[in-house]
Amino acid sequence: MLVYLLKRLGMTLLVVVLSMVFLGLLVHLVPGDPVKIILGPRASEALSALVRQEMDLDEPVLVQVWNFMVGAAQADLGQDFASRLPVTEILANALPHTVILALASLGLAVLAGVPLGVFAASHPGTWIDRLTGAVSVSLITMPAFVAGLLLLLLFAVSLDALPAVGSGSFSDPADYVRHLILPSVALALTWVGYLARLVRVNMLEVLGSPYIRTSEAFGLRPRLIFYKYALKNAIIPTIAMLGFGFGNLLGSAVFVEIIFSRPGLGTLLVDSIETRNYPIVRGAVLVVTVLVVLANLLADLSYRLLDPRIRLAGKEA
Amino acid sequence: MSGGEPLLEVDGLEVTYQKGDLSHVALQDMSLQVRAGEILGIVGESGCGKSTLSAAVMRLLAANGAITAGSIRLKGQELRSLQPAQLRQIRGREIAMIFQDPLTSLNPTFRIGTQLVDAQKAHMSRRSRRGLDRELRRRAIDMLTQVGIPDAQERVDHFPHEFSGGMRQRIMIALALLLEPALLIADEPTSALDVTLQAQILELLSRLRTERGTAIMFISHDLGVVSQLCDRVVVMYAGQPVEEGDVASVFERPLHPYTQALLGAIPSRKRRGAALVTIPGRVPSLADLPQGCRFADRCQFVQDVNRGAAPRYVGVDGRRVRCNIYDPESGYRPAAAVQESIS
Amino acid sequence: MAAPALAVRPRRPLPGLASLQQVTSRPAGLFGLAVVLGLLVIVVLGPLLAPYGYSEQNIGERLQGPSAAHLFGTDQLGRDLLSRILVGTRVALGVAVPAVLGALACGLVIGVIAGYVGRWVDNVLIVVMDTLQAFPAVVLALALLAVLGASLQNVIIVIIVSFAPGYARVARALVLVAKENAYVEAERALGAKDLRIVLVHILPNIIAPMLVLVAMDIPAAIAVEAGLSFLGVGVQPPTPSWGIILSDGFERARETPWPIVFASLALMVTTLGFTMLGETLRDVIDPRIARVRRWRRTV
Repeated sequence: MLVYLLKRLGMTLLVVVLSMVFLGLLVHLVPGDPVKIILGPRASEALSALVRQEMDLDEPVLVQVWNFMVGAAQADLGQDFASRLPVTEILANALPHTVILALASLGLAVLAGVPLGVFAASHPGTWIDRLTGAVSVSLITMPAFVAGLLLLLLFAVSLDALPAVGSGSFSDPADYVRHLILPSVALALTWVGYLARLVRVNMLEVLGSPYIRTSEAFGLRPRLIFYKYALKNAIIPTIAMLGFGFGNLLGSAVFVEIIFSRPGLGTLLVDSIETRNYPIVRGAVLVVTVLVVLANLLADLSYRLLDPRIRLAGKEA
Repeated sequence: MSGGEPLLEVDGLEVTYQKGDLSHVALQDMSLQVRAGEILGIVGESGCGKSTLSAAVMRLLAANGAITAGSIRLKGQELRSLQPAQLRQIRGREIAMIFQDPLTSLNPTFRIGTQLVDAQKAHMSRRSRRGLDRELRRRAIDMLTQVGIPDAQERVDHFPHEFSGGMRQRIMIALALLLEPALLIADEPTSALDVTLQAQILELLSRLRTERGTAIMFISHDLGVVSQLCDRVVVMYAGQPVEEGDVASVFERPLHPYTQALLGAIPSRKRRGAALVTIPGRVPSLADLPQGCRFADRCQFVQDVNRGAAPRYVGVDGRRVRCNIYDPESGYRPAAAVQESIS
Repeated sequence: MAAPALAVRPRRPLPGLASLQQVTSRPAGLFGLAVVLGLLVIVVLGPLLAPYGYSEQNIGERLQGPSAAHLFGTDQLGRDLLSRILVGTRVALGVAVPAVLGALACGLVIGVIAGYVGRWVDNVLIVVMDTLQAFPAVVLALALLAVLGASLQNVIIVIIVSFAPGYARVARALVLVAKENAYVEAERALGAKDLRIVLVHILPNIIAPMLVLVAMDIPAAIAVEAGLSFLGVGVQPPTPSWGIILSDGFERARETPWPIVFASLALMVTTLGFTMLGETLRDVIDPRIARVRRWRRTV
């Protein structure tokens, strides 16, 4: 287990390093003057000079990438072009909002999706099952930003029941939560459908396995078999999937933040693309990627910890 | 140690499986009896219906299977007329089952102690369950030791995959014995194990019968094992029983041509150098059964009359055979050669 | 004594492909196929079906709801929404289909090389693919578009880059399995060149499952394009992408909900149709793939 952990960490580190290399090289992947690429064709001389110096564009490419990586390792991602504030600081202010949004959505999705899937599995083949299936598919195929727009229309515009803009502030938790509702529900919807299906499929597969047959052969009550012996086996792969889908969640979060004008990494990313504030673009992408990689790692580890077969592998008598 | 009223009595049992529009009969005219303290062997090749038989007795057929005729009586009580709740009480307590593949028969995410205790709790009322965890656990550890699991005190908290295949089979047996069932159905319990382990499990089963008087229905495709362990044997072919009797007689003087061929097919030191005997042809598909005797196409003694009406299950010398050769009313004309081979 | 059986290659043109009947016999498949065919009709006939030109402005009639003259209403410049959404179908599919096919092609090449050649080449390619997959599709797309500039062509490129690693991994896995097949070994023993083995023996056997992925990825690609256009970094006006219609509608959400409603409907029906078709294909061709599959990128 320890060996595996080390290997996995090594791989994770490698991916992060390569991401940094990729981001460092990004401006050079496209033919043309990097400064023009970053700032656009109509950049002023002063700004061009600044950018050139800021991003070490006079140095050889490899040195640039190296400097970027060294800086990133020390949490120094440069300074933004406009306000001259450290990028790290700007990102640090935006990050919590995004993380909270992601976690809230995940929580909602689990709370709604898992019971839905279990419910469908307990009535296989009936109209209940088919209805839940239809609902799940519809939810899955709705892109999160469409869900966000529709929710916005319904609750914020038509009904005027929930806030449509901003996140509120941390000093007023209740208000913050109010602002969190629509965005997190929008994000969660796609996941609810996916989780429900996943849980259902896993449950049905588990229910057909030999060890469940053993439980039946010894007269255990159906409810006990279903909710204890089967569910535990079906939940484990489901949890792993949650982590692996985190990347998608963050991608969708970008849209939801824009739609609800929430501060966060997504808004920051899109705004800085528009304003051609390249250091922030680069930094934000890096942070998001690191988050995704960490989530994948956690998911993989949790799967291995939860499944006794893997956790205790190698201890056979 | 046998005798008296039969513990389990299966009479004319028929099981049909449904697949879309097609249905096929997996088990037909199945009759057998198991007495207390007796070990009955069920022998046959893959697909002959022996697993269907055990599933039917436990009323645990797959969703697309159903008992379409016959009766199953346990201690005189007809199992077919019981409600699900009543059946649950019987499973584990009166009849327990050991499955073929120990590697997949135990729940991988629960400790074996939990599984053993839950099995006991399932058969107790809610009131009596309270506060008994320790006692049930102690009983589980006890049973594990009895079936030969070393350090049971510690290992009761381990997960199934921490045990080898042979150990897991023993755990299954422990599970089966905890509730002290009158009848144990062992569905090919040693097929997945190597010879040494096989011997140990067989010895364990034999002891069960001697020490506790447990009746065992031992299902297998291995004639050698059956001859060692069982008192009586039922030979099955294509969903029907074709021969039945005490092990000594059946193995020394097989009546049914299929049994003869099976026994002839066993490699033996005595016939070293002779070509291995095989049975020509194949088992008929259950979806497309021939009229008349199902073994006719492969039988060396076949006559036209065998393809007409199905042979009856008749009694011969205290045994039973499903073969026209032994049925004086069938119209079969025993030739001299046949007389020789059966005497 | 009988000759030893040869490892004979199964003689099917494209093994595993579903029959039309199999697809239409399931309600989901029927619905999906109907939607996809309907969309194809719209794509082909597009401008002919539209009552107005998609960029025909009529400021006097701006921001109207559905009416006899404008079935879906009008946008902020008085343009007919129905026409814009119909033409938007061309944009959506015109980006998604080439992009996904491009991703398939690139992924296939990379995956086959990785799986067939193996050793260090495989390791390097795996690491590169893993790294690309570490970026969420949208985020990667945004980063690339920041340097490439926003345009329809660039959106296609960006989608190819995001989706290709997924295909590469699946192709690689399938190749690894196909490589072990007896007839491949037999061909090798007979001295067949690698390229021939790959083209003639391996590719036909791995194509079917990958086509299922294509059907499932098209709705994802449509969603990505719509999303990027929504953000302003994708297709540029006046080309009527559904994303742009949504974006315009979003800016004026308090005045009229209709642009959002109809564009959303178009998106949802389209993705639903493709998804149903894809899932039916998957169920028919190979139920096992459902498990191997990684989580589809959606926006």
